[in-house]
Amino acid sequence: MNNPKTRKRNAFPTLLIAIGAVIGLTAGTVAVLLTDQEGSGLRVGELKVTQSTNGNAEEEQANLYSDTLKSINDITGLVTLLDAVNRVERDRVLYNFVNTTNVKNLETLLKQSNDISSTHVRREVQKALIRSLATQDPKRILDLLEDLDDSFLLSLTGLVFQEWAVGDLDQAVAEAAELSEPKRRIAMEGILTARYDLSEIDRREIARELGHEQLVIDQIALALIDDEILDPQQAWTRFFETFGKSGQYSTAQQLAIVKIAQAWIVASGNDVLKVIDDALRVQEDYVLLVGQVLENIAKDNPHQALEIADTLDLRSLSILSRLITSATSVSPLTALDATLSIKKPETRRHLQELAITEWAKAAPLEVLNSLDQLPADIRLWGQEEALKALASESPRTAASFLSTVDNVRTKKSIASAIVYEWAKLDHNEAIQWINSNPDVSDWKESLQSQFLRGLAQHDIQLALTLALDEPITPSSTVGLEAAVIEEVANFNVDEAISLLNSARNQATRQSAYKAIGSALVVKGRSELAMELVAESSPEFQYEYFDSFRFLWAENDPEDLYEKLESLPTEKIAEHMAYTLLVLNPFFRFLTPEQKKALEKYIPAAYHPR
Amino acid sequence: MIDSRLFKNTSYMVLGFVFGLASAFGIAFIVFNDSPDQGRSPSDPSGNSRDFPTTSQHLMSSDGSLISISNIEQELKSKGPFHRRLTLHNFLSSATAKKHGDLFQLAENIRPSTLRDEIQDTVVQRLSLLKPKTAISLIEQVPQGRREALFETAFMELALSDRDKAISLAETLDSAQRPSALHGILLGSENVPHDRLREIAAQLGDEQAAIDRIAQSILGAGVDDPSNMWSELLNEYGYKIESLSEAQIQLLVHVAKVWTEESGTRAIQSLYSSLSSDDSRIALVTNLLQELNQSSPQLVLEVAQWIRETDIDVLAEAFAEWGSKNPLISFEAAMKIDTSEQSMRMQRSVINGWVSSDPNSLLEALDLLPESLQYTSQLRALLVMSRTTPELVPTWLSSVEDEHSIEIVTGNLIRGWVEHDPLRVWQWVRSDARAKKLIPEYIDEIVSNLAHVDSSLALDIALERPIFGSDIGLEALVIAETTSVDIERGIAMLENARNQATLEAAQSGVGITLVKQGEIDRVIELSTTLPKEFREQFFYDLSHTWAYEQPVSLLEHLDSMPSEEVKMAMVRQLLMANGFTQALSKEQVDMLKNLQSE
Repeated sequence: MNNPKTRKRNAFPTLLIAIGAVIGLTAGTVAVLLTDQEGSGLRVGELKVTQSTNGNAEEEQANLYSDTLKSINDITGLVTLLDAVNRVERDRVLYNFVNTTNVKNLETLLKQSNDISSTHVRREVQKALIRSLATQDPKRILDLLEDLDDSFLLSLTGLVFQEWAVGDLDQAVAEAAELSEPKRRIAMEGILTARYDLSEIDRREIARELGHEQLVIDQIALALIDDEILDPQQAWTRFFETFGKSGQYSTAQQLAIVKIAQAWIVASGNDVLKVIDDALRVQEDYVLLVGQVLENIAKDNPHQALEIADTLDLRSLSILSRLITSATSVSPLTALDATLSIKKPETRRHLQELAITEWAKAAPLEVLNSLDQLPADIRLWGQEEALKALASESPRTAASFLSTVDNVRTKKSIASAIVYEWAKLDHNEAIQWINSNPDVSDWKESLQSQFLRGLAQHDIQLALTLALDEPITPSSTVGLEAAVIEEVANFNVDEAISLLNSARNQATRQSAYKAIGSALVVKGRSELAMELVAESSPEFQYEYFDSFRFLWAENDPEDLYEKLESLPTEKIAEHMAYTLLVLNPFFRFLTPEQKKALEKYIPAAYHPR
Repeated sequence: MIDSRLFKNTSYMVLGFVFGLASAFGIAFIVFNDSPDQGRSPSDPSGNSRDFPTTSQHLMSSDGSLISISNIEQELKSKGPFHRRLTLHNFLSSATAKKHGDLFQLAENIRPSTLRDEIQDTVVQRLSLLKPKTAISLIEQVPQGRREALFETAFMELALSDRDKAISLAETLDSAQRPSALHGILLGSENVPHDRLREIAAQLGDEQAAIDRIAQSILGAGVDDPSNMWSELLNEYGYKIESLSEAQIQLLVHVAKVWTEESGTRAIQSLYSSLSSDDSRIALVTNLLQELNQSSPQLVLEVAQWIRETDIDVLAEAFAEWGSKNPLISFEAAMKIDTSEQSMRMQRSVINGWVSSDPNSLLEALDLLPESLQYTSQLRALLVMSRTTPELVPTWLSSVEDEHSIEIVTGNLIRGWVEHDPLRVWQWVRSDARAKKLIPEYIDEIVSNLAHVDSSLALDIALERPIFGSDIGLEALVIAETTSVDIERGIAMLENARNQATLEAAQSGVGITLVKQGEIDRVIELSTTLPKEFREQFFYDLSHTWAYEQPVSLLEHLDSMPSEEVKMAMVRQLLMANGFTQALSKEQVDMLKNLQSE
């Protein structure tokens, strides 16, 4: 017989172990949760459910959640629910919630969804609500969409039609046909995305009905290259069977045929070139297509690409240029090496220049460090190109290379580019360099002018002040402020006119007038251009109008024709009328009557036949 | 006694605590560990979630069995988009990380690709939170072209959950993947101060990405006070609109559009005067016209007319830019703005842009243009194509009727094309009746270029041409040009000269070519084979090229000249050429001047 006291004593250690176990379990759970919070992104306060394998508990829990869900009847409640759940489960919770909520409630939530402050959550919620509602009554949901955030409307319209097309394809197409663009296109994309089971013929038929057949044709073409092309020959055949052998292909079709051809050449080598070339030659876009094929191959192997061009007897400069540009972007020296196989000196030179220009734009210092690897006859040109490119990136670095340039003409041209760019970044350093560098002392004045032009782009007043600080030299009667005014005239002619008063003498003013006059006639303000020099000598007036006669005639021939009578001298009018007649064969802007009327301004010997 | 009992009791409790702790970790291990060998999920084994019960029918397949990796494709394909998502989420909720990976790889072979992408995107969205590194390694298994979108999804989800973790992880990616990760992080960083976004982007190597993202989010949020926003944006971005990124320009233009739609030309006046350079104004007007044309076409005319009156050049440049991007629509707008046949500047501007960006389509659209612009458009398009895609010109040229155009285009075409593809040019000029007439005018250019690629054909053609007044046959030119690509072949061809005058002209031509190539020893060698009476003339013929192209070598060979007269002629040439080339040192120039004065 068990003594109750003994039983109690015997049970006591078990109780202690149990208490210890509970404390341990609790501490462990807390520790796990804290660890998990760091490990999987869970947050404190998340709605969590204890793990259970007990069916009843599950059911109770489901009921509990069912009650929770039923209690959500506004958007705040839904957002609170979503905020509370583990992020990884948020979409599942959302879709399950939407799936178990009645239509009326969903509509209410949709109307309120614009109030969700987080764009991300708002869009996710709206997408789920609309997808679900569209499974019930897509036509009604289209009307409800109008109340939603405008920027997202189109994409939501597409979702409605995805569901609609699954439920009732004919009705979805009929409804889409009633929409205006771009909604109709989006609706069609939705329909075809959802109904991927339709045959190509049916898809094209629907697209034709909705006015976007090309879109489906493009999809079909792109599907051919969607994956790695395992059997290029089959893909090639299928492409032409589907789209025919002639006609103009869309960009997507071009992309597809180019990728297929490329894959075929890679797989089967040059043996297939003739088949590809024969098929593509009948295309209107032959140059473009073959160019793209070679361009892609050139990225990996420019030598092979050029060899193919040679095999195909292709000397199209545009194709070869694209090929070399493409190869240069991957390996400039390999591209340059490949050009050596080109026999025509002009073509070879053209392609080498192209490669170096592209290379210099991307990495000028690399070019400068590789000058000895450039073909000898293009080395100097490459150096100039690289230093000019470097000047716009870092004029100071470019300046440090100037002493390595032997050719005087090249050196001067690079120095001009350097000071123009340097003035925009650090005018003090730039001017100090001009003044102290013996390498450029012979062209100081011309570099100052170039420097001031660069500075004027950035700070007109400072450029003008610095220009006026420089004395007018006896060799040049024109002050440096002319350069500033001329530069400003290029981008703000009214500002340039206001600077004219700063010109220190007549010669400077006249020099600036030409740039201003040019800008004015292009801007349709020829009356002001004429007024500017109304008081000038006839000699200067002639020089002035002569400086922009072609610009005026090309940009605004009608205006020039009208102003002939108002020009200051007959000689100028004759000159201008002659310019109109010279350009007319190219532009044909004069009517026969106008052409005849011009004859009164010019000597009979020059009258057009 | 008390101490002993306390010790015992404490031991029992510690034992219990250890057991409890071990149980907690054990359960946690079973529940949370999703390593492949465990096969357990973050949710319970029955398929129910830790945090939300699943609607059971979405875990059951249509035949009543539980959905598994083996039948998931069939199940997903049997459902519409909404129910597919529901099923997919519920399925994944009960899946281990390994199963996520299995589904991702299974999806790789699922077609259509839109379904594949939908499944993989959902897997990545979840896995990036559960096992980010596994998600990344899965993404790295798909072809490069599809990684961008998946990286964006993964890092957006991560950033929404733990931004710092997302940034740290993005830093471990290589430079090809990092931009997509950054883009995802920026998308998942709502309500983060702009400065912080820029810091993050700078940390990941592309601050501009944040600037653009900020611009896009402002754009998406709408514009309440466009006037104020315009000023703020200009202050922040600077006034050189043309040098801003596409996203920044898009935002500025959107603000300008909203302002214009609200206030009409008053807004345009303010916008216009807020910018001080023509380039900025052109950038604004170009984009604004395009935007307005889509949203409020009735305003395009009003805006354009105001700008036309203020600065016609800005409007014309804007139309040229618009024309290069969307020629047909811009041309339609330009027709409305050009008020009469006497004023077609905007239409001409569109054609300027059009002809440089797509001359082929301009030719195709010729009939849509007013008659007065058709001629010049056709001519200019063909001239551009003569330079860029000469192969296509002959076909177009056959439909041109205007004699003047044919003459101009044909000449330009031959000159531009023959340099690179003389064989095709020769084939074309012989087969095209109108081009054939121009053969005498361009035969020199054709054969000289042909000599570089097929010297035998070039020689045959040259020898067929009659010799006219100068007594010099065309073969002289072919021989000289052939020498530039093959010296031995060129010299050997000298024997084909039809008469003495041609032979001498060819010899001089060969000599000039050799000088250009720096083959001075061959020049001297060739000169020794020449008759004495021609030798001096030979050097005179070479003097100009030699002085300009190889001045130092000429200086060194002055004593090799056949006579004092020739030597002095060379000295004069050198001094004259040096005025342009400045290739000689001061000492060398002084030496030449001394020679001249002696």
